Amino acid sequence: MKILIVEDEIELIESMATYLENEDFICEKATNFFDAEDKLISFNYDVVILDITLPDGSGIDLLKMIKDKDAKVGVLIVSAKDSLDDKLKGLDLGADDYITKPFHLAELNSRINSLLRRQKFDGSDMIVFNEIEIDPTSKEVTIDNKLIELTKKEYNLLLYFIANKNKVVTKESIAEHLWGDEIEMADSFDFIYTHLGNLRKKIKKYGANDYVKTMYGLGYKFSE
Amino acid sequence: MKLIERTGRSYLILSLVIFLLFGIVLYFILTAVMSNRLDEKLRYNKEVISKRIKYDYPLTIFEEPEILTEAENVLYPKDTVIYKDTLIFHAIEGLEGVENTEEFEKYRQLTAYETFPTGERYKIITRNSLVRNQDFVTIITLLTIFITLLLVAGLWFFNTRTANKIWKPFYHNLNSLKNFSIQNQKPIELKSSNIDEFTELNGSIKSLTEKLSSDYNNLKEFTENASHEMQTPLAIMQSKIELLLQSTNLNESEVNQLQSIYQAGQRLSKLNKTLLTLAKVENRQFSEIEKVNLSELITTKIEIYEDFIEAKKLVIETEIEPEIILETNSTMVDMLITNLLSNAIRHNIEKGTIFMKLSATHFHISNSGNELSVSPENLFNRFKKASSSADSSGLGLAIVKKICEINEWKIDYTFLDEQHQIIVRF
Repeated sequence: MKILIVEDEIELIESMATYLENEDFICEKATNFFDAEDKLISFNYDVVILDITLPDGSGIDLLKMIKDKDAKVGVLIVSAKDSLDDKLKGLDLGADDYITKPFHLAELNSRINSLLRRQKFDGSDMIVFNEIEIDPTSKEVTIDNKLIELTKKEYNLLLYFIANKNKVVTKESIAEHLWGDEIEMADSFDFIYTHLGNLRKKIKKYGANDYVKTMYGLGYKFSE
Repeated sequence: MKLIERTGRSYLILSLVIFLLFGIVLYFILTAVMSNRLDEKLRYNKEVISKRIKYDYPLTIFEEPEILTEAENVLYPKDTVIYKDTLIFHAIEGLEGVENTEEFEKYRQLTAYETFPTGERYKIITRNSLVRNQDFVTIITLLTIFITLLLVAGLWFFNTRTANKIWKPFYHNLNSLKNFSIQNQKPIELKSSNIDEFTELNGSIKSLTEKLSSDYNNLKEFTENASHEMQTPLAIMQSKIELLLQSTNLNESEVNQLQSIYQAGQRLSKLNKTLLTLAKVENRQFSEIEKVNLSELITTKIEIYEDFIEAKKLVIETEIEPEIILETNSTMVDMLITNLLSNAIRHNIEKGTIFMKLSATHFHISNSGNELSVSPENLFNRFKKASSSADSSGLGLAIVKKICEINEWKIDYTFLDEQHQIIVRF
């Protein structure tokens, strides 16, 4: 999978690229409008991560260009402004998702994954992690072909973990992923324990391994 | 005291003083002129008498002319003329049915000591009544008073009439100045006047309010811009720490320190986001008006917060009238309800209660909890928080208040029966 990251802040581009390359994405970087335009004309990408405010132009114009060339390319807008206008404008013009700075890298990764899933319309694209299989279209989870019942939050949590497998995922990013960032409650971490506990119990009950590891007080890691 | 009254009063006092002085001066001048005339007349009479004595001696009017005493001869050795005012007793016999009048009347009197060529010395007294003079003075006084009153009345009438006309734009402008609010972005409307001072004042007010508005806007924009500018460095910080956390060779103490930095960064970015929201509300960026079903919104919000409500074992009671629809901005109402509900959960006690009531006129939310450590008046101010906990930015209620202000809703807080109560009246 090839990703183009358009962002004028080099340090941020580096972080994103490092995290995503670790997930076996091939990342190309462009730090200005000109570079991005050049790369978009010359190469094809599966996903473009696009900062709207660039020093020499607007990301919105790039977005038009991308969608004119190939409407299937997934575009994730990254913006420092979470103003509704920008968001609506971006989405109206064909952007597939919108994320506001500062964001969690795990969240970015999860968004890109779901964007890529949506691109493949056939729905046969199952998410597989050892004995766990997830069908994102029907939102069904099976372990060793046995269907397990998960609540919406447990399902989202599992999907988030698998998208960021082998990575330390912080509690903050989980809370934000499950409840949205407008819910600012410090005690929301307690609810992660509740939902996580239930998820773990259900997975174990159906005979899968407990893949969730606690990383000190910081977060969790979903790995073998 | 109004300026008109103040100046009117000065004019009044001044004119009273002037008329009083005028009256007094007039009185004295008239009296002087008249007594001069009178004295002349007395002198003339005296001349007539002395001529009669000279040529017509002995006087026919008197049986016995008054000859000077020795003492008077000594006192006035030469010819002397003495003028004086004197009172003379009158007794007038009344006619039938009318009482006798007895009174003293004022007279002007001339006493002359004269030596005649024959060597005889006479004392001649002539008098004239002053009553007519006094009448005259009375009339003058009355006239003066009358004119003064006329002037005062005229002045007052004229003053109020012109003043009303002249001051009308001033009062209009004063009123618009009173109603001027820097927050509603409307330029001040001033009525022009052809009085130089007022025109100048209007000019000054206009430039002052314009300056004020532009400063205020700059300040607001500054908050928003500053918050925006902070987002990117925050994003870099956060992403770098998240990457660092992926490295496998960290020991526990390093992880703990990283965690502290990470959490501080999180706090900062949440605070920043809230500040940005507040700035946006203040900048009236949520101006799109639509129909919002408040009943539905509240029900949905309660569902979203279910986890949090259950975790604290809160009992939630609602009296929500269905289909309450407000014409307002949906984002702002969403923020309002979110903030109020999350406050009610966050500042609640274990196994506490939340009560919500919605009607067409108001929204009432109350929750159990401990009494505030900040005074209720300060509750809606920025960064006023009852607890120093990290999870509360102290901006939530400031946002709530701002939203109410923009929508012209009234918000009140009371603490009653161990319950924090907030009522928003639409």
